[in-house]
Amino acid sequence: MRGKEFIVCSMKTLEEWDQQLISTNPLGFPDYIEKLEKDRVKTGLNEGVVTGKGLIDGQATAFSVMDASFRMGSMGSVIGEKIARAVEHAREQSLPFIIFTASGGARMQEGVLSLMQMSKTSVAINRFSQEGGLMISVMTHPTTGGVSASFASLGDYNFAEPGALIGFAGRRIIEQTTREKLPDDFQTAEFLFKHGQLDRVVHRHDLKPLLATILKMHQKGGAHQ
Amino acid sequence: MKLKRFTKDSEIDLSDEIKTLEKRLALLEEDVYGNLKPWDRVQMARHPERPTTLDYIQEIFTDFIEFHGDRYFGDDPAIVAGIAFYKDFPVTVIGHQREKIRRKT
Repeated sequence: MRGKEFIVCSMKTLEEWDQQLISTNPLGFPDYIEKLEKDRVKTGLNEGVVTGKGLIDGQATAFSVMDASFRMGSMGSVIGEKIARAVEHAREQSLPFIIFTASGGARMQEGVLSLMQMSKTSVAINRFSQEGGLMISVMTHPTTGGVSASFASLGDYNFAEPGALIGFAGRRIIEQTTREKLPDDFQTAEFLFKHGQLDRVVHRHDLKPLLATILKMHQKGGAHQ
Repeated sequence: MKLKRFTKDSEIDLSDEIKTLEKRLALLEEDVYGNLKPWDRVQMARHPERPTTLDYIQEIFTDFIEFHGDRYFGDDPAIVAGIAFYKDFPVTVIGHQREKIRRKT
């Protein structure tokens, strides 16, 4: 499912943030601009993440939804910036922050600038968290590389969809480096759950009531004040 | 309990009888639980049907959401934890979860 459809089924969108941000080609990487343009036409999105404010069961929340159909959801400067800004908005407006991740990792065409996004988003989330902000991360298939190693794993609650691939380096790289055969379910949501890395594995159908209940429990001063 | 509901729903008033029965139950409970020998207590504590944390949670709290894992390497089934509502208050619940059915070893 595409990112936008995800929003439609889980919440009511009130506003979208930073839609105007568009990637440039800071390293002069061959064909990068053309590839971006192609994906813009293909997906109708400016970048691989949509951020904004929405309602889940009448409760306001900030959200970021990544879309793997745009450059495999790879994280370049714009994705990092939009997510960091969404967290900042959530902090300023005292909203919870929910992120749906889907990413192949850092965007290679932006080189080290892509890796910078890991620290930028993490710092923003840390500040948000220090001030008591609630963050829920929902990892969808696939959530890998620099995304899994930064904001995707930084939720107060970390959830994942059944069967989602979640990891840092891929299976082949690890097998070749360690010269060991990895288990078949390696880097699946269920494997991570079994090894204590996820709080819950939750199917898309059950997601909305779960998020709504958690938001209700985390309202300031209890649910009825 | 059944009788209580019956009384509510029907014309026949059984509340007097219910009161007598409840009194008898209270007396019996006092009699049984008040005179437990040490070994009886041990057997009660080990009773396979004794309620566990998850049973209590079901009775006491609403909207319980269980969370798992230590975010390092594993999950401990002997401890259950999560968040829930107690009446209208959001609370964190943690408890031991012993095995329901004893393994035959």
